[in-house]
Amino acid sequence: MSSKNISRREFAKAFSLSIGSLLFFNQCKFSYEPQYRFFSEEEATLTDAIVEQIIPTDEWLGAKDAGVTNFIDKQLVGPFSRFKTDYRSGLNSIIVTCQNIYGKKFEELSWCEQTEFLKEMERGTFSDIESKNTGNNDNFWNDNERVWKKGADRSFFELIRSHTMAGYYGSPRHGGNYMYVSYRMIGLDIPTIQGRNKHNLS
Amino acid sequence: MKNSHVNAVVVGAGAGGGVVAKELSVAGLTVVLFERGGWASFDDHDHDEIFSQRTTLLGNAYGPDNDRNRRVRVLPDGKEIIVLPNDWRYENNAACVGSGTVSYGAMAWRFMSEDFRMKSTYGHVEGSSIDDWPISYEDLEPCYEKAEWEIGVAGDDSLNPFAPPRKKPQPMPPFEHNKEAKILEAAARRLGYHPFPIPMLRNSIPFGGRPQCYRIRSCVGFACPVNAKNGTHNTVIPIALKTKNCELRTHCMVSEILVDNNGKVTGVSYFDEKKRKQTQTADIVVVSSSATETARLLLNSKSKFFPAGIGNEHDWVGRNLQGHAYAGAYGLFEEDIYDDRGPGASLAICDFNHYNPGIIGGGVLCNELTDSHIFLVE
Repeated sequence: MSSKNISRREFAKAFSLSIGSLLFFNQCKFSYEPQYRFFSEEEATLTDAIVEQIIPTDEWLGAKDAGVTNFIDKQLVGPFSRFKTDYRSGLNSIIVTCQNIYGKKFEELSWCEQTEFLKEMERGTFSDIESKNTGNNDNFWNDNERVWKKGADRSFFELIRSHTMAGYYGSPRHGGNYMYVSYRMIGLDIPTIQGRNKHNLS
Repeated sequence: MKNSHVNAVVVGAGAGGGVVAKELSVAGLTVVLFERGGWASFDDHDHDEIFSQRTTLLGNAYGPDNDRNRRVRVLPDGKEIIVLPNDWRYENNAACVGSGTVSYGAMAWRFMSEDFRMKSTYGHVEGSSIDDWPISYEDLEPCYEKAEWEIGVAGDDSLNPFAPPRKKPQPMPPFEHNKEAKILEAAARRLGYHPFPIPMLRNSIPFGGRPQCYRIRSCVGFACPVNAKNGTHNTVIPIALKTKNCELRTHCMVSEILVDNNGKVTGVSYFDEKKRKQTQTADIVVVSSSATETARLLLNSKSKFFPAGIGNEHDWVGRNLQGHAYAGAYGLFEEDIYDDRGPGASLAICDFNHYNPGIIGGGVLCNELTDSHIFLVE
């Protein structure tokens, strides 16, 4: 009985210590706000919503919580720097197109509306002048002609889809795949696959 | 500071250049060995799925890096684009000390006698440039043997009835088959074929002062974490450097072969680690920079004597490039055939290598090197 009390007390002590250190860090003005290297806050929020559509949360974390936006952002100031313009103009085009169609931001749309929107992007509808006469209001299509160059909606969708997969399934050291979520989902041994661990020579 | 004159300059510290540098420096010649990459190690990138030599989404783990190695590619419509080294259109070959021998799948094939006599074997083939080599298998056989013993090959050709003749067996016994290869082996025998273990530049037993292969799955595309894969970086290049006759200059890009007023090669000019242009004079220049870069260097070396580039009097330099072409097939099995024993490739048959009615050439059939658990196409 007494041993239980002691351990409980010790636990409480340890807990308060950790809380204490958290408070201490807060007093040091340690910021927990996400810091992006390339994305603006608005772009990051939008990217979160897009990547979550591509790999949604189920019993496992989705792309958003797995840090895929962080992965893309990190690579855009490194190996993906040649895609900077694609992302800046692609995300902006989504913002403008969403505003034109729904009068809302992409991330404010319902889940199904978001899915539909991305499907249209994948089909290349927004940049396709042929499908202009669908009975929608004229403003919308005229604007979108200027917003998306021919095929740009489709190619940007493909780009962000492939980068989402890379961030989600690639090594966590690049900023995505938080806590090896995809490895655990696939059933791979963590931290490395049996036989790959360089210290395991058996 | 001026570089002092040497006997030989070797351009490229890969499979060819490493061997040449060792032979020359052991023979007592002074050598400068140029490499556009640096020393590479497994620990630089670990078993990274999106940053290796095969899946190059974030870059080539063993070079070339994207900073200074761009290429111009001419598209079929004549348009020119600049491609980065990690773009598949670059047709990349590793750029580091040892080059492709650091990260390769390490199969150690000998050409068959017929490969040297393609025109004699098949006659003229319309639309092709196939020809006989000026050397034969018999000429090269002692060199194959020397390379197998100095660099280290595990295999047993006695199980392959189509293998070209050899005087000496490979220095190491072959690897034991993995599970899928055992299934394939039985199936191949049932079909009347002649399966055998693939000759591999990996240590099936401790060899050359380095340990035995521990059969990880991520072998091809990666350096070996225990140094059991044999390349020029851990065999002949260290020997060359030990002679003190060979100086290795990494991160140096040779830009031109220099020629004097009599048409004689005098050395090379290159851009050093800090991108400064420098000159290295030599009696001999060995160009061993792989198919693309060798051709590019020769074509960039224009002079009064070689207005179209060195060796290009007939406009053949850089033409007829054959990439690493192969076809694959996948099968789905009811039962588990995977035992996680790398590097995957284990068994081969040479039954379809030459003498297939109606087919020019032919090829070896192998089970495949293990793919990364994610396989991304950008």
